[in-house]
Amino acid sequence: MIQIDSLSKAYGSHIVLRDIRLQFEKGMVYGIVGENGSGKTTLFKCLAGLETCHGHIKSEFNPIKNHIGFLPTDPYFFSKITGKEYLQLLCNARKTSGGHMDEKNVFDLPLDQYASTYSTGMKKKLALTAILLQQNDIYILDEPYNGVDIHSNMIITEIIHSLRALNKVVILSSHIFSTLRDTCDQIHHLRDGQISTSVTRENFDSLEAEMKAYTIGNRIAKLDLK
Amino acid sequence: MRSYFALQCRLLNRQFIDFGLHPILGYLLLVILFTGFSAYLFYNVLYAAYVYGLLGLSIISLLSESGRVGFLKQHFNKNEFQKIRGLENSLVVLPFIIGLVINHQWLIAFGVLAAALLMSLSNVERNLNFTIPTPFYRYPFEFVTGFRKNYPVILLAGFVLTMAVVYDNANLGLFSLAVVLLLCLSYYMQTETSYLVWIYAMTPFQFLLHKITIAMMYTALMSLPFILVLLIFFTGHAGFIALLLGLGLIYQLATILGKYAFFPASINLPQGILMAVSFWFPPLLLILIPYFYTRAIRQLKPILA
Repeated sequence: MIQIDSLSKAYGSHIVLRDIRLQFEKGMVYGIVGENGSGKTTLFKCLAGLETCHGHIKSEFNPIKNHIGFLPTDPYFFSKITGKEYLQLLCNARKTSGGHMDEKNVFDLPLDQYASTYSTGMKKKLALTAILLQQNDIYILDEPYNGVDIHSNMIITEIIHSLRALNKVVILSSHIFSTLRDTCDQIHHLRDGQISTSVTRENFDSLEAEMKAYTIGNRIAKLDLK
Repeated sequence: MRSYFALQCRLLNRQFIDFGLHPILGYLLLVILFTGFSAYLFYNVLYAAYVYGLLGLSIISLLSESGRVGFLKQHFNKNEFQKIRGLENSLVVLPFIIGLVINHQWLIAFGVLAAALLMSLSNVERNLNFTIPTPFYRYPFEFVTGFRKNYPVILLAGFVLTMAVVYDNANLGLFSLAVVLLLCLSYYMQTETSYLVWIYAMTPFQFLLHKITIAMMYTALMSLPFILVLLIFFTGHAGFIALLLGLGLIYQLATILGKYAFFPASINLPQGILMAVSFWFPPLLLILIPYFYTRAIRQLKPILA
């Protein structure tokens, strides 16, 4: 279980997150939605300990960061490092062997090629495979579906279901509502640095309708499309 | 085309500013360092002209990186593209050509210029599908990436070592070992993102120990062939060889600690000056190493603790 109390983050006078209070349980999948710049990535980084912040994060895992597998929105790869070496690097960091990497290469990535030559989606899949090989207890996935082909999206959805079954905590963000509908038990809507709404599975439709109404409004009419 | 070179100039100026130097001072420092290096090489090393010329050409090979060449091809027409490639290759080797001419190495200077222009015409792109094998795959990333990026320098050092054996010149052999040790040290100049430090389930002390152990192990592995050859052919210089290796490892330690002492920022001017001074005055390391260690632990704590 992870308990977040009064979490706030500001860059100078610009407040990004204010008074965030959330609870994440084992065996549950949580979605965080919000517009670009709403603070999702900052929240994830604060939770992971990659950003300093005010407030309290309590967990049975100590230190929590050593149990988190964090998939960044835009994973960084050095030039001249192969996919397999990247997996090895992340496994070494958590002192796990990674086992037979070729067998665990569920996305059929060309692991012997330089990761910098991969497409956006392939990079995302490599970074995801790496944190899965680490065998973490908590998974924070920042836009795992972004740039990934439809077949791999299906695999990612199944992986998230498997993680839930293994009693892991999964927190993810996505700009595609249907992916959250397929995976999440609860969705939190982050707006202007605050959690504006939290809904469980039975109210996902109403959240989507609310977001649609708020986001679209009369914007399309303003375009005066002809 | 003029705007392209103006942009390159602005990018270089920014590098100097990030390093904490006014661009004019930066260019001046570059000229002084290059002149000093050239003088040292021609004064101390046999066949320096060849080493010097190959060094210039190896820098050009970095400009032939596929992504970079592809970008230029995409944005400039064929004529402009060829002009840019030819001009930038010539500009990069120009200091080397001047150095060669000053030392009356006319033929090699002409050869370097011709090779630089040929390289721009041939549009050599590195084959991205070919992965250069490395013995360092077990513990990525510094040696893995460094080895692949700089393998021509290792080949060059091997050539220098061969020349040292052929002409029975121990100093040249020791120089080749020094090049390899400096190369290993340079692998730790690249600052990784915070994420690639954060992933480690280690305390700051354990993390530094891990990095240092790997660096020492791989430095020893990379210099081993050179050390063996030197010990076989220049047995009388065993003491110098051990001293050079020892110094190389100590500087390696200082570089790693120095890198993380200012992490996540890149190497800055005061740190660079301290390191450079320690090369001329090694006893300074007795103060620098504990200072860098204490700072590194402090800098890593928020990321790893």
